[in-house]
Amino acid sequence: MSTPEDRLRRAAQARAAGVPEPPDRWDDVEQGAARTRRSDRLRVTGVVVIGLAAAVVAGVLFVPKLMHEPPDTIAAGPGAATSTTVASATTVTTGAPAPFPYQPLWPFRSVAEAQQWQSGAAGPRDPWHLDAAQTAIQFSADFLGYTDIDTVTSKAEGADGAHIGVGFSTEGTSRGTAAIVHLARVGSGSDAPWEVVGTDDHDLTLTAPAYGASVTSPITVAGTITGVDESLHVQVRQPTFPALVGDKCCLPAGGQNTPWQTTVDVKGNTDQILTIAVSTGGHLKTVERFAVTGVRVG
Amino acid sequence: MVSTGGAPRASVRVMMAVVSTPEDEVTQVTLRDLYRQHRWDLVRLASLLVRERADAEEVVQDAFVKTLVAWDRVRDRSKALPYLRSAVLNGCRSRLRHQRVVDRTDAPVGDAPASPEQSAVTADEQQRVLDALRALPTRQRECLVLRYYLDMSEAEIADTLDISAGSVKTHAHRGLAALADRLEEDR
Repeated sequence: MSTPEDRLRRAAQARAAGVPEPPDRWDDVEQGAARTRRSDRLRVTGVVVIGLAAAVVAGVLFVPKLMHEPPDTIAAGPGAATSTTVASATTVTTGAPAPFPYQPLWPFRSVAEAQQWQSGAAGPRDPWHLDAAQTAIQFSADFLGYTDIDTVTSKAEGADGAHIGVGFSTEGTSRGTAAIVHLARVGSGSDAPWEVVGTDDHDLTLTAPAYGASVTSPITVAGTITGVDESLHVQVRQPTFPALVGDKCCLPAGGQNTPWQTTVDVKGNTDQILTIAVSTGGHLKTVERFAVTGVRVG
Repeated sequence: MVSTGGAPRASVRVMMAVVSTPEDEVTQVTLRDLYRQHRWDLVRLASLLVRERADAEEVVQDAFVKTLVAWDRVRDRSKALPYLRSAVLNGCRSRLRHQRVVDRTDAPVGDAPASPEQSAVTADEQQRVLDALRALPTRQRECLVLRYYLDMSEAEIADTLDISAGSVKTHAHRGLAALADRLEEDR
């Protein structure tokens, strides 16, 4: 009797063997690359021109006004956050030219980096940075590696940014929400990019370390969970490759608002900003719920 | 204590997601050479992950386009093939995500006719196994394909998917168990 491994190996090899040789379309590759380079150049040029024009207009309209106002009026941030992982009173500057009231998690490591992107100085601009929902999906699937997360289940936008429900499709048209991702625009204007700053947590929370706290390895990670037969997986990630710098699996958990706690060793990180994520799943999908918090190394 | 230091930009993260494997001993290689030598293998790999063969070909084309755009920035070109493999996996994932492939029981990939020596029973068996594979969560499916189609080690899979070796072990174990359950149910 064949094992599932043998059956899988044979089936995959047979299927692959049935794939005919694709035509040589190297010319298309070269043309596609040329098109991409051209559009990148045009985009950068356009942004620079628009940026210069905006700077001139802003200078004419606002500089006289600002000269009569105290500088700290510019630093007013968004309203109180609803996220349990976002400390609304905390202002994290991370070397940025303007205060940003949250911990920047992803895709930018700092306000300065986001501003560089907005100005076009960082190179080609991927349009998904301007779409909060797409950024939330990319954060979940690409950065955190929760590849089953491919669906936006809810959207809400307010003074404190966007709160995007991300999840997965189940049977038929049913959808499950894995997390509400909280994003905030860095900078101003319609071309200010979205930054993930945390999650709004309910059934699965991540309360320690505190949002924006300074941490050293090993990190004690804790929170609460409501659920049955859960298995918690804690990961620590940085924006720069290699993303995964801490990993702890699989902590049995369950109950009603039951506290959970574990420690995670962190090594190999090069960034000062780390994202700690806890997930659970295995019933319908590998990841069915998750929560994140942002911390600083130090 | 967690160390800190200089870090490359997040936007080039994917460019650095390369894996060193013994197969890549050639240091002077052009992308065109890689295209001619490996596009078929990469399409075969993609065909196990996406549903339509045309999608698999497009994913591989896109991976080569992106790599060519960034070719001047690739410092160690001997690692281009592992990078391309990662790009293809990312492309497959992205294609599945954006196209919202919900119905997992559609026509199989690579609809080439069975070779004369393949019996109908064998074809059914392959179809059952691939349907069961396709019904698994994405990460489990990727781990099983890399493990049992490409014969990659846990460490190589971990590098390719940018996850820990422990996660690879977990995904592969769960995936194989789920696959076995599904095949058993089909009996």
